[in-house]
Amino acid sequence: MTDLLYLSLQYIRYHRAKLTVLTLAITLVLWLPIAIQSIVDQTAAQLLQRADNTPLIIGAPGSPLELSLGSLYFRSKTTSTLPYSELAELNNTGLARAIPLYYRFRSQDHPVVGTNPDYFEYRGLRITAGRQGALLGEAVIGAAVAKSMGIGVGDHVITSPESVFDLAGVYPLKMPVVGVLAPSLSPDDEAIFVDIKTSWVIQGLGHGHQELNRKEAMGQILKREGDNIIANASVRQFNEITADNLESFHFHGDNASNPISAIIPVPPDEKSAALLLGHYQEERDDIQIVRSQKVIGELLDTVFTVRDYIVVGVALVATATAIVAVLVFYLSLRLRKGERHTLSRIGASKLQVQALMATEIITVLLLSALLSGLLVVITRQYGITLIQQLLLN
Amino acid sequence: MQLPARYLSFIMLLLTVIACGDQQAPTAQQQAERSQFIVAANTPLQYFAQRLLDGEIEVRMLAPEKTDPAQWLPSVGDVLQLQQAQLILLNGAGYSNWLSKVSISDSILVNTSSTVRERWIELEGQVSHSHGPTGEHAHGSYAYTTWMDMSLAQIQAKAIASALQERWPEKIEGIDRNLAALLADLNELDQGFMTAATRLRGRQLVYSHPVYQYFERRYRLPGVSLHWEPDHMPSEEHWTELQGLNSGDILFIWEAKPAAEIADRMRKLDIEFVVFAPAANQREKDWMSVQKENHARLSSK
Repeated sequence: MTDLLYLSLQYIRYHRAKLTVLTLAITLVLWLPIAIQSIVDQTAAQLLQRADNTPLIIGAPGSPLELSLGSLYFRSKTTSTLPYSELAELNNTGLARAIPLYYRFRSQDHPVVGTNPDYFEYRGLRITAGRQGALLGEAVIGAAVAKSMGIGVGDHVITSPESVFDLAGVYPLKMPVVGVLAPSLSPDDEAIFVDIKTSWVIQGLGHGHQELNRKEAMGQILKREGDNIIANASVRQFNEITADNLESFHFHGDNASNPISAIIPVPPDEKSAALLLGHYQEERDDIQIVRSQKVIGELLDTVFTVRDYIVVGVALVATATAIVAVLVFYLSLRLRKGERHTLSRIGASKLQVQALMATEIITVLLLSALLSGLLVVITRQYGITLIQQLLLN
Repeated sequence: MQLPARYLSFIMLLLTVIACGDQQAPTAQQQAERSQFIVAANTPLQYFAQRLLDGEIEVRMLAPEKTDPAQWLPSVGDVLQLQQAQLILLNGAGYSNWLSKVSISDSILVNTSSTVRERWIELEGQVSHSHGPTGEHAHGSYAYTTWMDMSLAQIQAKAIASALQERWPEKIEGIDRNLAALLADLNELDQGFMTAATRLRGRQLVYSHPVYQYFERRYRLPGVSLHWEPDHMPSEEHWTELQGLNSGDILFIWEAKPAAEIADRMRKLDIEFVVFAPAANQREKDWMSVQKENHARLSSK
């Protein structure tokens, strides 16, 4: 028995390169389908978790998927909006607390999300440096924004123009960063948060400029018509809101008519949620209320179909690999014909020769099974986190 | 055509989710942990809330002493405090101009006069301006001292009671009881002002500041509004303007007690005056006492 083991080990040692390649190939085809399934399942669970935590979303009529993706992940660039008055209307129903979202604008690759302090409480977001946004024009940035842009409290972010060809459009707004959020491993890490009114300033619905009633502004007045002062284009509008010019910022018209992308209703209980759904589905056709779990669930059905195709593809590759492995083992056995003959002539029994030949196959299969098992455990435990870290870095 | 778009959305979403994951913390618990206090925009609202809550919950007013709460601009520290309040009681009619310059959740704002918007007094002669593509616009357009009309003050008190009861349902009965007493007091004041006003009809009323619009309308005491400060001697031009109004039966209404030299000059000019304090930022006495003193002084004229 010791002799047999010795000879087997010597064989493996001599052919280690061939056996290693074979072991790795079989390990991969065993591990891949399970890994894909595991990662997709974990991703789906995370997707559903965000949707579960935000079961209802209210928005303008249109694609429920766009509304859900925008409100949950700030990934939509839809221009459909609701008037801000809908927020008060929802609050007045007493069925839910209403949180506004306006995610139309961006700063470089990051969404600039207009909302109010309720959002931070709702998502459980914690400030890790600086403070909560307090004044118009202040920004609180997500952890990934701080890392990717290399900025922190005291630095500034500047909004990106919506179109480079919009020469007559609104000037970018320079906003001081007053707080950085702790990592939440959510899309909030990628966002820049401002007050909803700051979003309207970015859009040009509110602005600050020098007082036109003052003597210094005489040179910028074209004419006076009764109580109306008509100024020329040289009136300097502020592109940054500071303590010195904050008072001069104002909004045109009633804020109630200003736009928002969506409202997150936070009903206190299931009954209120059901009543709210009924209220909007039955009584309003100018507004849609979506159940984000349902919308994301439908999206995931598509995802699972894609996953199934991938798994089938990997299974085909696995089959091909198995056939190749069988061929390798068959050729190997044929190459070892002389070795078998020598062993018989020096007195080895038939059983001993067969056992020695089988050692190669058993070793490769056992090692592959062990390695793929280990990889599956690692994937289930750390796979999604490792990929997240990889993408975040 | 829909399928590729869905796949595209999914790929973007997949990258986001893989990159992020999700965390969620309880919210109701955090709300419960907030310290229990509410903030009022001015003294009348603070007084109403204190009467209704009977001291059970702290009612703060953040505007510093001797400032006009309507013109106050909160500091960062003030805003962070406002964000922690259970409720913020606003006067409405554009009173808290600072509201458009700070980040506060709508869910804690209570506009105490929003149900009577149609009774807000629109100001005339507001300067508007035009520049750029946005067209003509004006800044500020309503008179905001609504509580000077005691019928509106009662409506504001009811609005506060309603908001408090919604926030603290366990206090409904106590608030109802306190509201009845408060409304009775406000009604008594209203009747008292009505009676005092009947004796003043026909006199030339001059108001030191344009903050009496609701008082003038409710008690039918129209007058001329100036911009005189009680602690700052008006210019000769202003005195001439006042004498030009003098019909011989003038009653000058001050927001606060005028400086001795101003009072002396008025006496020399035979101009009768009385202090009628809106008490928007009153610290020494409670708001109701100030209004009763207003009533007593007005009744003596």
